Amino acid sequence: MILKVCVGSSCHLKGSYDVIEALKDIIKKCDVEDLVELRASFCLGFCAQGVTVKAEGVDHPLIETLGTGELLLHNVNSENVEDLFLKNIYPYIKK
Amino acid sequence: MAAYLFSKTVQCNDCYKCLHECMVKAIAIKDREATILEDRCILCGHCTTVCPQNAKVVVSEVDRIRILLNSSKKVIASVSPSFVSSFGISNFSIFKLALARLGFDYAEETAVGAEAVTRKYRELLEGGTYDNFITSACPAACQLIQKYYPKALKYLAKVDSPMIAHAKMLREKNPGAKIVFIGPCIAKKKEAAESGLVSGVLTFPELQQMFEEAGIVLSEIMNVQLDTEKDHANYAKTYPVSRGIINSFVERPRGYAYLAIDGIDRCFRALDNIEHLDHVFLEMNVCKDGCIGGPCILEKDGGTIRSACEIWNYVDEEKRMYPTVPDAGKTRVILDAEYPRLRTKGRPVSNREIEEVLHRIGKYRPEDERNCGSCGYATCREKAWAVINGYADIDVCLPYMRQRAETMSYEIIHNSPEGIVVLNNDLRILEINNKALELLGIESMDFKGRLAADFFDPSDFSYALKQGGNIFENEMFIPATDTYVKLTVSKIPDQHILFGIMKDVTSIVNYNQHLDTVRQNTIRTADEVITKQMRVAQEIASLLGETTAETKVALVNLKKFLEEDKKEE
Repeated sequence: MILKVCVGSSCHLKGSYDVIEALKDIIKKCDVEDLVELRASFCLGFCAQGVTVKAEGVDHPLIETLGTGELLLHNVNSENVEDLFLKNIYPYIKK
Repeated sequence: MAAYLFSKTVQCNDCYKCLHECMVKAIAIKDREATILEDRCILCGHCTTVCPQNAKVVVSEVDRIRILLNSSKKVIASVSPSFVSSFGISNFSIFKLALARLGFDYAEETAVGAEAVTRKYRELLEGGTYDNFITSACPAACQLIQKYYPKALKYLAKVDSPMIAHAKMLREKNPGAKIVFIGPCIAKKKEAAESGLVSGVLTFPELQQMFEEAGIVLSEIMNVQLDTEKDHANYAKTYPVSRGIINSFVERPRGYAYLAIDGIDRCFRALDNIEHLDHVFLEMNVCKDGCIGGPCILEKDGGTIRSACEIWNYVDEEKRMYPTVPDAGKTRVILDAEYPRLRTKGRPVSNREIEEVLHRIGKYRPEDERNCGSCGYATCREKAWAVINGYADIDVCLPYMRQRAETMSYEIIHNSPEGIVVLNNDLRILEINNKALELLGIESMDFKGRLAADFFDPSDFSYALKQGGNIFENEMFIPATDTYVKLTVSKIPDQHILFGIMKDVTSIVNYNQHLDTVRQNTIRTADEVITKQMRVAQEIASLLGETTAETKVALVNLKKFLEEDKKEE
């Protein structure tokens, strides 16, 4: 799975650097370093919706039938990123 | 994991010994019952040895193997060299004969496979691709790395374990034969089942049971020599002893430091630091002292130290008798193995969830997390993780339970509506609650440990002490506070404590006294009324009598007067 954190100017101002740092720790803590690749991405086009994190290669039947295999998280910050990751991304990592 | 190891819930005694022993926390204890978590367990089997109720049971394969032996298939036994110490014989021919009587068609020591493994290790070490090198002979150690130390996976030798290597070699020579491994290990059962090469694993106690049921006594088979095919010294027979793999190299490849790590705690320590090590050869055994300290050995006097000596002697004897050959362990069989990353089921939890759990057991600040380990988990946070994953009961926390018990009993005693006095056998005060202080009129707070007689009259207590019995609802008056109490004293024999409960009965006594006065007043009034009535009645009677008498006198006089008048005419 690839996690892309938007570092466009809007997201950068809203703290995407902190989100990336937090995600590094969380990925390490959950022991999925070998399964999740963390990347920064240029503007994902959701400048109005806070820091956006895009997960690619999501292992979820619904998302697969929709055909994209992608999942977007909006309004991410260093406070809620752990909960968001554990609830919305961790269960769908291909193991 | 009903397949290899399970916990009998009926026998579970809620003692947490297994959880303390289990380094990977693969045991869930919920509602006073322990269950083994298959996904987390590395099958080291150490819980089987510490359980005081013997509730941890290795699933026996005796029946299955017996069926296999009775079938028409060719069955070959691969025996771990640790049989030497467990069965106390150093002649494999004896063992072979005994196994033949059980129905095995052939038997060989697993060391044959181990020799090939050592050769393979040497090739890899000389190839120099490994920065560090971890042996893969211990299946529990492999599982430990696969499940919990993925970072060390690249150091784990991609070589079959001796059991699998031996099975491959035996099957090459005997196509279609069924292989049964015999050894002191539980993890081998899983390894065998998953390999598809080994049909079953007998532990030493299981084999012993089969020997006993078949009436085979090893000491009766004597002076036999079958191993005519032996042509060289097999150094790999030292595998079951710690440092045995290192010693199985006739000549160790240069460039590595050779260390033996035995015992799961040392394994943890080594693996925690694996990235700081450089060119270290780690012989890893999850059991202390190696396989000879395994969970399914046959215990005997002398312990593992003696076992180790016996195995070293066994190999030394062979080294003395036979020459070493340069191509020992050479085989055409491919011994490459893959050890993939294995994942446990428990989910990671967020800090917020952990803190919620910690708050529920009264831990609000970092210093409240005492990490005492009494619940079986190393840290409070680890315990919280287990609670969230449903592996542990939340209230099993010693500081929390103690605090709760202490505050509970303290509150109950001090808020009881009845006075409670606790004295020791010397009639010194151990505890007095607020109500009793009030009843006894004690104002000083410095009463603990002092003589009860300084504060009140403890005669009932000393009476109870002398009688050795109890006093029930004995009424007494306390002049200091002008109160009446009913005192019940019980003796708690084991603790040498007198326990008194005082019930304030002043109001009842006062009411009774009031009732008495009313009664007496009524009686007095009744008496007065009766007396007065009598007096009145008597007065009336006397007046009546007087007037009657006067009337009678008057009438008699009148009659006399009339009679005298008549005579004069």
